[in-house]
Amino acid sequence: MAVQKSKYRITQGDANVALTAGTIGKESTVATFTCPDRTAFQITPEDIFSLYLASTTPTELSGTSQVKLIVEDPNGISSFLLALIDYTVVTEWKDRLKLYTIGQGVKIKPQDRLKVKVTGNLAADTDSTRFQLSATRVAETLY
Amino acid sequence: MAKAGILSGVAETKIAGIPLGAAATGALVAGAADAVIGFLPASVPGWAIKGIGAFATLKWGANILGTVPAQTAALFLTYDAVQEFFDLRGLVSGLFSGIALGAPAAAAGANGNGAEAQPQTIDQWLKKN
Repeated sequence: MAVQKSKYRITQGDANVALTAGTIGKESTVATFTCPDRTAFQITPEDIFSLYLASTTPTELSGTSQVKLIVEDPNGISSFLLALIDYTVVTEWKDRLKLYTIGQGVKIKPQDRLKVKVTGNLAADTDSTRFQLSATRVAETLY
Repeated sequence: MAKAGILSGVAETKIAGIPLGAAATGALVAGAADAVIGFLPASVPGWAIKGIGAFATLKWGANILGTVPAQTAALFLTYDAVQEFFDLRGLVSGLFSGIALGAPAAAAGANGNGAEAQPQTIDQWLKKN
């Protein structure tokens, strides 16, 4: 057995991501990534984060909506605030010069949760939710 | 008394006193024995088959091949059997693998031979990083 490190992008399509609908004007979790067993993720200050949120209409949330990136232990007892930003800051997806970089590092251990929380002017719909978070995945191999 | 066989003439070849012929004929016969062993079921351990092969080569091979080729082949097969069972060669070479002659001793890592041990599990990696 060994550990294998590789660059990885956590997105809304990841098997370990659960999406939930947001609530207007109230902080709500729109995406939860649960770190699989025998795996850890390392987020460095250079890693990037992008987000797209819209209502069922679909109308995109206002730029002043608040976005939080939080890492929680499996029991939700303790949490680490990775980012607290305006939504407009994380809407860039392609331009490397405009992409939001996390600016701090954290390790996500097995069964820890990474949550995207939003306080928006509209209720975010799960069908519209898109996000990308670059990270380094450290996974145990079979042999 | 040594028995003459079909490979006896070749087996006696020596160059600068080195018994090349014996080694070559021994390897030839051991190779043939390996080929026969290949047809036996995989469930039988290799070391046991080679041990029996060595016995059979000594017992009956000398009449056909000659004493020297049969004895050398038996030696090769026995070596294979012992090596497969104990890996003596690996054990002994492992004793010296960490020693670099003439070089200053490296700082001991977690595995004791100077190299930094790589984490094998996520727990180990998390502790290290």
